[in-house]
Amino acid sequence: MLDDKPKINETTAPSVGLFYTCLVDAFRPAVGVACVTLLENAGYRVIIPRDQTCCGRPAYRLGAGKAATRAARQMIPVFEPFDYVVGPSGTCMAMFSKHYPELLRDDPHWHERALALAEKSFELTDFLARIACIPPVHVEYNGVVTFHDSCTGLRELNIKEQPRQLLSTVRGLDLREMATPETCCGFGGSFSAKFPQISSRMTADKLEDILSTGADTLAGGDLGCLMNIEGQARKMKSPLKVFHTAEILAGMTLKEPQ
Amino acid sequence: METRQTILSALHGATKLRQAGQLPRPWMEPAQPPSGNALIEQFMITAVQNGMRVERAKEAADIPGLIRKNHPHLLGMGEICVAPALAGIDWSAIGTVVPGENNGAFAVGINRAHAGVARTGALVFFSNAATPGTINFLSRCHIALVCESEIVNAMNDVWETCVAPANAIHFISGPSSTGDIGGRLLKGIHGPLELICYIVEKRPLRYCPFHGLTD
Amino acid sequence: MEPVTDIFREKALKALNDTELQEAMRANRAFSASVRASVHGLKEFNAMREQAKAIKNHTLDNLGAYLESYEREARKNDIHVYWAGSGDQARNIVTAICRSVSARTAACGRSMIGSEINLPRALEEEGIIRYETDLAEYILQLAGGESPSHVSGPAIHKTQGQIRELFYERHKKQRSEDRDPAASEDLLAEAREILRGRFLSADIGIIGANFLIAENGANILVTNEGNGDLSTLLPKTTIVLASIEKVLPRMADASLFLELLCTSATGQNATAYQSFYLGPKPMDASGNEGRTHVVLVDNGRSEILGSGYWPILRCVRCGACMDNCPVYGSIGGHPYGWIYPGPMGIVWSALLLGREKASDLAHACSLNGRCNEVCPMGIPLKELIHGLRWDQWETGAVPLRDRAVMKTWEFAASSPGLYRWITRGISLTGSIPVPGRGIFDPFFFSRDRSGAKAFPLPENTPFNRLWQTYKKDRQEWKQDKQS
Repeated sequence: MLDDKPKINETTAPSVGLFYTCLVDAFRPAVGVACVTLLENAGYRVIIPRDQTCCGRPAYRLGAGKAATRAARQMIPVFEPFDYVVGPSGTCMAMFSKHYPELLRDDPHWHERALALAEKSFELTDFLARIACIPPVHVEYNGVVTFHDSCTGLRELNIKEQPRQLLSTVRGLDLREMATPETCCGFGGSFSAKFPQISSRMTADKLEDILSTGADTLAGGDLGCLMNIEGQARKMKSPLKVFHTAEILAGMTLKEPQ
Repeated sequence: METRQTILSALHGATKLRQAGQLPRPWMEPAQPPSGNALIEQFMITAVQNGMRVERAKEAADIPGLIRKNHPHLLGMGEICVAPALAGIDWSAIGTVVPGENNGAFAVGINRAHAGVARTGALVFFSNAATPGTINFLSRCHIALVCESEIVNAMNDVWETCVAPANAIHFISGPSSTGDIGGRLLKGIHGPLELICYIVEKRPLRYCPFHGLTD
Repeated sequence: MEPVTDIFREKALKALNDTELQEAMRANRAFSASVRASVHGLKEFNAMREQAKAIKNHTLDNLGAYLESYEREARKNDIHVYWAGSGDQARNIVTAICRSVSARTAACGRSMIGSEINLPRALEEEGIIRYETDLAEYILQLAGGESPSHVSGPAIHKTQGQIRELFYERHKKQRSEDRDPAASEDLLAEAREILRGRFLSADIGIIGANFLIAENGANILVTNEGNGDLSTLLPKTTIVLASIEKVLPRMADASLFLELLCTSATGQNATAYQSFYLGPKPMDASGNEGRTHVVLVDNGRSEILGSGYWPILRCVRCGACMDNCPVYGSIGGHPYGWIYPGPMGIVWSALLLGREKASDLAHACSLNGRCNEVCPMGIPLKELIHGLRWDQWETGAVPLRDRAVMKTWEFAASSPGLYRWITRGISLTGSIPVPGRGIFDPFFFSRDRSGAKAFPLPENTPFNRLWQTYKKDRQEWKQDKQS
């Protein structure tokens, strides 16, 4: 990402505000770097606003409307100056594109701003495949990969074919579908905190499905699910490699599993 | 009466703010339904999938002989109960038949189906004096007779041809079954273990669900 | 059934460690997968669902009028129609009818509303012997009154082995020789033998209704066993219990709803028996006139209809939402504590028993939304469950601890500087040398520190700091290039 490859016109290229998300920030910074690489390669000016915090999903999920709305009011001014807002998570981006307008519907001024933001907010693979229409990526990945559909991205943002289409252009990558790629991995945010044992059973079932494909790598679009499954895999001493789709597409897969 | 009013006014209160639209039209299958022999074949395929045994006969009079030939095990099961609507057929080839209800004393019962539904593979029985409902449920082996011309595509086609105010209309698509023991489909729990359907090419007797045979 | 929804957590833990239950749930998951295959085979499924939803919404918008029409037509058919506002009223109506015909024994078909109003207890208090005739309900009755764990397969939590043991013990008296009913077919034959006698001797039949038809007063009963029909046809008196949302406008609507119900419940395009009872009851062999009584039960429905939760009234009790729910698939139906399990059960229990009785249930869902996709009535179950959580927050029914955590989070999320420090703090924990495989328990500080969950450790430097470094490097590199 520091070479001179991106041919971006610093003044006229459309701007993308990158929402790197809390989990990427704290746990897996490589995904953020991968996002910048992919977006810059696609010809966008990537800006990473410093004052971003959390999308508000944890509060929203718990039903704490007031707290979620406060997060929305924090995030809207931070991201509204850009042509697009992109983030590597369906769960977080669905807050922007679906739920902010809903949370702020009683406040006309904020509601309008939320709607405008919703219009230009996209999950990363959705953006790359549908809006940026990027050409095949020039990276290689030698492995058998299976893809987990994260529930929120799949069911709130219709993210299904986009990551598969992008991954299919990676040289050497063999994509094998699970029997039930759309089944919840058991994370569910507060659900796994409130009922860790039930959650862990669901994750164990998911891992079984993943491993029965014969894949050595799991790809997915939401760090919550991925870390949940990776944690289970480590616990079971499985050598499964777990990557965010962005990491594979950006060729950032040299990291060995711990 | 008081409760009735309380409930109705609560319902009225709950729905008064809603924009009550028109009642949508009933569901119609978008595809052109099959007709003629294709319709009968579709009925047979679906019915067999449901666990029914389906055989074809030229006319109703052939059925006793066909039962004797194809299902000899039914002959040793005592007297056979037949629907009064079918009493005009000579059943002597399969033993003694008793027209009327099945009160539980008969292992084999023969009934006249009013129609067959190709989409679901179900036979349609009207429960009345000419075609008693108990035959359908209390017989160990349930034999039914339906005419080719009575096979229709869907359940709603039955309502169009049917004007009979029977006590009950039963759509029966297979033998009595359950999945309650170990999740495996098992046949013959309370009702019949076997359901045999004869599709008769020639309409044997004019049949009216009201009055039974009307020839 | 007496509801016990407040010990979800304990029951769920027990269920996770119950190897026989887990075996049964595995079988149910396989069954559900085959049901899904049939639904996918029904190519018009989505269009059918939209049409059914529109018809049902219209019916609910005019529910009072359709019920009145049903009542009028049913009376023309010589059927007695009663209205019950509460479970109490419904029980009293049923026991009064039983008394009027001096009933001592009742053959009961499966009825959700019967379980909901705890009819078994009312019959017991009345001294009436209750014969459960649905095989699964019979099994549960033999097992000493266990509660159902599924809406369409109440005994799916029992393995074949458990049923075999149960029958071996409890059928000893009826068995002429001492043999073990080893095969499933033997078990079936024993149950058939015993239940056949009960159908023929019962004084009264009590059944449910899957649908009521407003235009002609028909009530529709759907079974595979035929037990409901036998409970209707044989006893002289029949009581049909139906909750008020079961009504449909026309006979021409029945096929659509039946097909959606059967496909979603068992993958069949039609169950073995679908009966339309029009009444009057036929005279029996000795010329006695029979009677059919229909009890329309509100029990909270009219209130639901006026609330934001009204779409749940479209529910046809097929069980697709639970069959496809990974939470239900892990723990079965019993932890939900009442007669309605799974996603629909969370909503029904909260609405019928009161939100405070189901406060844990609203969180026993990962909000993955699979139930919405499979519901043949297009009920937004995920949103309704989510709505229950919102209600908790708004009514102040949230534990102080959650409240405090949320308050802190809210403050941090609106203070970017502080937020960056927090993420930095979290990522720094990655450098703490901990033994093990590079994983930690993300809920170490939560209420029950179970250690069940594991997350990979963070990577020392948060992205926002990493990015500052990159940005600086890049600037310098560019300047170098320019000079």
